Amino acid sequence: MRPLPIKRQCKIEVQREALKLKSMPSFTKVETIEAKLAELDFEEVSSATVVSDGRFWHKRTFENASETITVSDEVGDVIYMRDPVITILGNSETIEKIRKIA
Amino acid sequence: MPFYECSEHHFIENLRRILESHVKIVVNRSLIQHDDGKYGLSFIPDFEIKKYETIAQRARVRSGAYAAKPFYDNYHKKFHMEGDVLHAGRYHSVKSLSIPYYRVEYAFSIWNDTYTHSFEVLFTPEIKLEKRDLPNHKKNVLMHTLNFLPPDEKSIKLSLPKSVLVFDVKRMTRA
Repeated sequence: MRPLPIKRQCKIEVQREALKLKSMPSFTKVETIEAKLAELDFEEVSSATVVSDGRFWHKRTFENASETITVSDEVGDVIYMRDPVITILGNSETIEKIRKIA
Repeated sequence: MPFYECSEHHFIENLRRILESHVKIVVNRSLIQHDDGKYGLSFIPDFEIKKYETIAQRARVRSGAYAAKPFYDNYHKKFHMEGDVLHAGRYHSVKSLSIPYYRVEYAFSIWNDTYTHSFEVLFTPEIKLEKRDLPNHKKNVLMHTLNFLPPDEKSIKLSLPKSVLVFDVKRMTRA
């Protein structure tokens, strides 16, 4: 395989370095978050039932070419408002787009 | 040495603040498989019990769960006949069907303080019709078989930037 030109290699490296971490609780419905993720070309790649802080969560992982987003939505009979937790490993632009709807 | 437990949100946000201050950080991760009866069919939410509805029935959360039909638990190598108690809501000692799980713990230390986030990921049930030899010598009987599949690797890890070094450890001991 022919190696990538130096300029292209650098560009890829810069893109990788640009990934940032962000976690935020959301007060919107999971469906709204899902719709936004679909719009941003994210695909669900795995899901599992997770127990954390004594609560059951449906944790789903979404990925696109380089970014990863997990959405954890509480499951079970709860009397308080659910607040899905969104964790993003992505670029600033994606974080900002998700923050706007969360 | 102070030890702080964090939720996923707190843990990630604390880590993000450290990364933004350009401090290099090492995160330790331990992953241990358990099958100690901590999770049974009585206490899991309706969302999860739906995955078992072919073989089990339960009136509501915290009430007893019973076998709806005979089935073979291939993970624990055990037969359950129709009506068998799979998990008693009231008597915690009766746990004949436990759900295995992974306990995942992430931790990092900075300035002698340790911050941790732990969670448990349940195995996913897989129910199939298979031919089995019954204990009462009946051979090749078609019956439901329960298997537990380990969760996907993506579900048991936190996605962290490449600049964060993640070290796998066997166990984390608290000083």
